[in-house]
Amino acid sequence: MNTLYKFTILMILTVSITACNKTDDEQPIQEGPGEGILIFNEGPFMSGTGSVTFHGETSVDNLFETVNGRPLGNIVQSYSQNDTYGFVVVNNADKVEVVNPVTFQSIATISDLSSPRYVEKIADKLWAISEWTTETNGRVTVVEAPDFNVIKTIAVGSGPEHLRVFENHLLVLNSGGYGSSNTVSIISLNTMEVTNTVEVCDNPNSIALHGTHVYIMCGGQKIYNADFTLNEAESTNGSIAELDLTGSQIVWTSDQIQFRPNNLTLTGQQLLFLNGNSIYKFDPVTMTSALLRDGYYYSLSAGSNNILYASDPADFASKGTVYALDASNGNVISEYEAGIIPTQVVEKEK
Amino acid sequence: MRRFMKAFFLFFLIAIFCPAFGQHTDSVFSLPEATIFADRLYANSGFSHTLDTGNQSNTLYKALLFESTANIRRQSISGLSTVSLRGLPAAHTKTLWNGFAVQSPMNGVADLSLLPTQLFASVQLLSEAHSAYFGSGAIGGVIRLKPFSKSTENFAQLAYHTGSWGLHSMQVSAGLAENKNGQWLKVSAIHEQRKGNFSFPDRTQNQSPIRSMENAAAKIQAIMLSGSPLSLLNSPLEMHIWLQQSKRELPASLTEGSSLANQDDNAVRLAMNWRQIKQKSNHEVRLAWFYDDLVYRNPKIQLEAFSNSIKYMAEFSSMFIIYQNWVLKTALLFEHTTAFADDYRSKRNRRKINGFAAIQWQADKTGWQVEAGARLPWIDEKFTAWSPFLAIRHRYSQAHETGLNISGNYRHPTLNDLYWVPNGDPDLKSETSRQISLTHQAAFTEGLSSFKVFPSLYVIHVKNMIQWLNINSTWHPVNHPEVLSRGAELKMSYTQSISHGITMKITTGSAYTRAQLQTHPNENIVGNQLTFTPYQKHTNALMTEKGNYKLSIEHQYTGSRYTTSDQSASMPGFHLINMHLSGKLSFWKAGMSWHFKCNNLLNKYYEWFPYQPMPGRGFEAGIRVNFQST
Repeated sequence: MNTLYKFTILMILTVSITACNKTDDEQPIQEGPGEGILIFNEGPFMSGTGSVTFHGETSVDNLFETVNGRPLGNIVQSYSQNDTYGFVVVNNADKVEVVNPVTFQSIATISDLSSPRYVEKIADKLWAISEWTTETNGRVTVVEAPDFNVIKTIAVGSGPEHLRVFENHLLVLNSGGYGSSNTVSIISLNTMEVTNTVEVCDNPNSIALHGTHVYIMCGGQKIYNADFTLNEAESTNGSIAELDLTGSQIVWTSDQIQFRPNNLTLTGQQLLFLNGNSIYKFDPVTMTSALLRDGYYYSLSAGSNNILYASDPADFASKGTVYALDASNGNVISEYEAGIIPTQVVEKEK
Repeated sequence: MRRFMKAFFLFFLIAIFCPAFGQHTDSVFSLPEATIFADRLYANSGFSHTLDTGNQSNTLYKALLFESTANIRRQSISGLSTVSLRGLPAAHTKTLWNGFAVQSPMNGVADLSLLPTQLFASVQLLSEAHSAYFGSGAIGGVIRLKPFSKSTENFAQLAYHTGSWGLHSMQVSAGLAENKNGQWLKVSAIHEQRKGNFSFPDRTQNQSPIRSMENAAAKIQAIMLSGSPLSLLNSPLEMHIWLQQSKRELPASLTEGSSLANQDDNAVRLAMNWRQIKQKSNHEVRLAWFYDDLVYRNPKIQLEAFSNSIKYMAEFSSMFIIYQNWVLKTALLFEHTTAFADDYRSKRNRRKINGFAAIQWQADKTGWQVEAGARLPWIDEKFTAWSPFLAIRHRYSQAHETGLNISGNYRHPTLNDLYWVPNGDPDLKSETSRQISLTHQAAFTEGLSSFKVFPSLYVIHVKNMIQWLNINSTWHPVNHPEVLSRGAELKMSYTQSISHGITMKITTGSAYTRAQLQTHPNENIVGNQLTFTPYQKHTNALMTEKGNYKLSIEHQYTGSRYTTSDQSASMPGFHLINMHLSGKLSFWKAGMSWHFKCNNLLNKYYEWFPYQPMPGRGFEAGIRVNFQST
């Protein structure tokens, strides 16, 4: 039995030694993947990491990690770029990854942010980042290339989301974040100070510049009674407001209080948005909306040649799909496999 | 006997050579034994086994880690820890203390990291559906935390335990033996804290630099007071008081930014049992009052969320011998829950009345036992899914016993499912399930060796399973999915007394689980394995004892687990090996024991949740001094 005893211990040690990890033999991409589309995926809810899917001559499931050998982080919120830099906003990781927009190689990581949401170029070498900081306050942080040091932080309303430059001002949509808001902060790009805070509609979430007009989409606000039913008297419907630097005017209101319209997008000359997860057109002349395509879509992104990219997140826990649609009639032109919860599509030119 | 020994060692060696197999529990569990719990008149007709929780600093998480049938899920070193049995989610495992659920009525799960095993007389694991006996949620199985009972000696005990990453644990226990009036008292108090600042390779960075875990400290203080202060109608009245406070920091995952989040959990639980045993009937009355609260803080977003719940419970049960070998069991349970959460907007109440009746027949000599019964739950003024069962057991020799359990089971929606604003659904239906489980137990003893084997097969079909799905970009609980879970479990142990007073014990356990979605709005994932549910878990243990010294090595392998429902991403399987050395000595009326333990001996990197690393190799040591007098 002593022999048996020793043998058993030997076996246990054997399994310990042989239980080695598999090595990762994937080689990093040395050059850019070329022309195609980039799909930015939020990643699994509560855990995991966001990702970037590329489809072109070849397809890459996880472009950032493949190129840089590390995951992006949790949760990929948005992407902005110019010819020199690409900014991947990783919301729950409190950071923005700055990449080469051609190769996707990491250039810098802007860290120690607070729930960053969107990035917008505001001047040569200057970029603005919207951040949710607390339930009642948000801020815009200005960083300067090429070191991406913070040169200014500007307090704005709660839950700042999209940023857009308009007439030498930066428009900041205060979405309410963890609570509620109905304002747009207007920052002078000369002074980098908030010059005006304009009331729009409840919980602004997206913006589109159509000619000289600025349209703000609001999700509206839902108020619940103690018995759990929707308090329709105090709730507000989703709406679109037209904004200038001094005020706003509501030009369209949803007739369906249960939905929170979002993702107002300018594709070609068409204003499109999601309402109840179906795609609608907004006519800025008649100020009316019409269903373009029924279905279940999570986000919209504008493409070239009148293409609208609409993402289907499946069950939010498995790979989604991106559809390239003809923005004038909603017909599907092509479809692409995405990662977990695709949230934005960007056409990559080289 | 020899052929069983050969078969056992063949299995054991296969387990070792197969990289997917793991091994051990160091004396960790005594092999499954049929148990009829004396503290519950209508206790179960299934098979269960008692976990060896050891005499060291422990939580239920650690106790179940090397249990092959228990699938652990832990969000971080100090985060929520849950267990799922037989492939089903954690809310389908019921955790009972003194017969009453300690799960949160709000999310339906018990946090294993908040259950110090030193506060209980024993922990019993029942891997079988038992809603008829244990009520809502007992679909995958049941964990029973047995309260302290009387002792025959006065004692006082002091234990100190320390370890890596700032672990310090102190336990003071004392007890008065039962006197001639039937009075007795036991008290146990613990204080445990740890920094949790272990080092790990950060796999999200190039070259995986070594980092220290941040914001992972935790502290638990608890006291359990049990005793019988008086008698009523010549039967003892037993009381238990459990007070607990915990504070913990909640670390960020590797893919998140830094975290300052923290959470306090407080609990006050009172229970009172009165039992009268007569020649042809037993009667038991049990009353309980549980208060739990939780405060979650996230200073980064200036968020502070508070929730609490209060439960009143009363259970009246009786058992009658109605004719020769026929026993009638009846019970009536009343439960009232009030819960408040910031996200409920107001207090929410739930009232339950459950009726239970079963009849049991046991043959005199043929070894047959048949029991059939049902529970009928009445909740919030309406009857919901009922739970019938039929349990047949046959002991056809001293060595062999087989059991068949066919049952209908249920789980009510949690208060979060019903009332979480804005998307809770007050109209959710209760889940229902059907289970068939076949279990065999064999035990052989020959000379100085013994061998036990315990295989079981099961099929569980759950309908109206409640799952939170993202609809219109917000999360909603829905009844939609059906789940079919099938599996096989096998436990074996071999004990041999060798010469020179050496005893050796080898145990091994394996669980194969196939838990599939049968229906889902996303048809592409129908048929896929449930996320975070491994196909397999294996445990092995080798324990050797000589005199006052004991050495054990325990090993577990948890298979890979999908993290996405389309199975496009998964976490790899991993092995863990722990080594444990202990000894004891006695002097006068005192005894002292010591132990030394090396956790994760091979310093393996592993995660229960993606990007939430768990500690590498760590050490623990402790002593316990015990004074006893009659």
